[in-house]
Amino acid sequence: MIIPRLALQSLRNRSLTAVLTVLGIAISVMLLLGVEKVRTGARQSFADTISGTDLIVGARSGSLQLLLYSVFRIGNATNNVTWKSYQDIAEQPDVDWIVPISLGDSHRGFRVLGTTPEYFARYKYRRGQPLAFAAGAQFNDLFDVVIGADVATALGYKVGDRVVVAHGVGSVSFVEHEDKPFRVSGILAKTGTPVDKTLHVSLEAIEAIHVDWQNGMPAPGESVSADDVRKMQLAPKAITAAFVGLKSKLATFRMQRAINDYSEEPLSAIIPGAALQELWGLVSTAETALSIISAMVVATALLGMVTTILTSLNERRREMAILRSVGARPTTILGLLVVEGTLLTLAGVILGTLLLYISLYALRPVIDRAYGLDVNIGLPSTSDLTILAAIVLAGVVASVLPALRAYRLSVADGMMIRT
Amino acid sequence: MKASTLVVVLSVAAAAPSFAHEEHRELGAHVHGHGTLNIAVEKTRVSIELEAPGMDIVGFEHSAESAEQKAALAKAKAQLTDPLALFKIPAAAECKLSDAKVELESGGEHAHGKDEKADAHDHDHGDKDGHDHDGKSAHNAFHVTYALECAKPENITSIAFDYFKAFAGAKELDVSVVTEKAQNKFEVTREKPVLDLAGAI
Repeated sequence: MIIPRLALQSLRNRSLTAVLTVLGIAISVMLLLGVEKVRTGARQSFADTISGTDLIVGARSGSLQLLLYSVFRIGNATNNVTWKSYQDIAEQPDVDWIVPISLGDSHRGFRVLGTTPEYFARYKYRRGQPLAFAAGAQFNDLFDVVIGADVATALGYKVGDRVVVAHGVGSVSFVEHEDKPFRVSGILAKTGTPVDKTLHVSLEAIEAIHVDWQNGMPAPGESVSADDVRKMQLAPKAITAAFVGLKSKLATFRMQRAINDYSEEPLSAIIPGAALQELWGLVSTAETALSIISAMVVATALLGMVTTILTSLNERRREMAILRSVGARPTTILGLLVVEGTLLTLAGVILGTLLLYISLYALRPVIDRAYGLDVNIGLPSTSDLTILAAIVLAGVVASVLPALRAYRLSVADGMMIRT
Repeated sequence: MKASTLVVVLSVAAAAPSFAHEEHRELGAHVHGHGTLNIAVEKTRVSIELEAPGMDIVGFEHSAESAEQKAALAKAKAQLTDPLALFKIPAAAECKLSDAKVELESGGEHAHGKDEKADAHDHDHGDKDGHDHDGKSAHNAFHVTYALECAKPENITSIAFDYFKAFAGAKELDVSVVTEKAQNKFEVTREKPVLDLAGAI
């Protein structure tokens, strides 16, 4: 038992270097585990973009494309879905609810989405969390708009403000629906999903702003005033996609097949969770890159530890020689240095884990608010523990190197007085 | 305004190349070696749906002619009616088969509703199988549905795919799993015939 005590006392004697080494290891461990946490958090947040929706229906296309434009508002639909087909699907006995969405207009770079009020009750994210209003309420009037959290912050809108929607999806648009301004009726709470970057209006409003348009341009001299529009029939002719909820999960695949085989119109139905996973598979290279970077960080810290022990050997030449001269065998010296290295790594690993959890508790709400990334705090997973054990083991192995060097140095060498 | 729109539409129609026969044609994908397995779980009810090309299951896709082929077909159908032997679920889930339905859909001849639907042929095996490619050959596909009753579905933590042992032609399965908790998609291959579902159900 003399070796651990000697090692501890020797470390205490050189407390500054020891503390710095421990800190170095602690910070790299924290970084490694932190990257792991962020990686799994990012994957989870991504998968949580939409939940509670059983199927997304759109024009016939690949599942990724349909997911990208309907959920992430990236790219455009290949085709629209006719209102007739939408109604056909809505009438299916398996269908519990269906929410149409209509895309294509924008407001200062943010997409405008036409939908029904049911959207706010049915769109769920993060394992079934519903949308919440930070201010105001859902649209009631034809020219009401509900804006996402990012739209509100970026453009500084408040409830009651006037908004003019532009035709098309560019950030600078040449034709605007100026004659029919909208009023902000509600602002949604931050979700960390593309909903934050969207302006929501009713389906009828999308029809209304295009009522006097021809071929993508306002018809000259034929403008219909906003008041006249209110009196018109504004049944939509087409929508971009629809979110579908089913009465039973067991019907999911049956319904998907029925929609994919629907002969009146080429449609595609996708299971959003499955498509999200396919999409994540594409970006998993970035995940691997993150893991490699954090492994490198740990390797650097261990290298630093070896360097510190090796340089200290020179100062401790005499210490070793005295130990040897009072009867310590070379193996004792070897053991002493290995125990030292092990203690340093162990302390580093424990401190690093503690630091990580403290900073996670402190930063979690901040990260969620700023990036919409919900980092799960939870206890270290088995893979985390494996990584930690591997680091300790690597520390032990790394300390063998200076130990072997000390083992070889002779007593005479240590006894010699160098000037 | 309406009339002018119509004129525009008509002139576009006149300029476009016209196709005389306006019938509806459609081709579904058909990839040998590649099947799909859909699993839906709700409370204690588990529904499983398997779709696989005939090539994967019996090694031919035309209608069975020789006695040998008929025997192979009968054997495959018998194997397919026992999903718990093909897709091994942990015993702790206490699953019992309540219904199995094996259907053989012949791609080339089978009519879906009023539109004929054939299957596109996408050989990923280099066409070494040597089955006849004359006009009457079809692309048969198995469509199998199972209904299971599992007392403890939360114990379905993994599925071992003995399916690949039973059917030499099968190479991979796209597995979709839908539960009240989540929707997941996996790929199970002959090389790695195990699906880890811990936490998914």
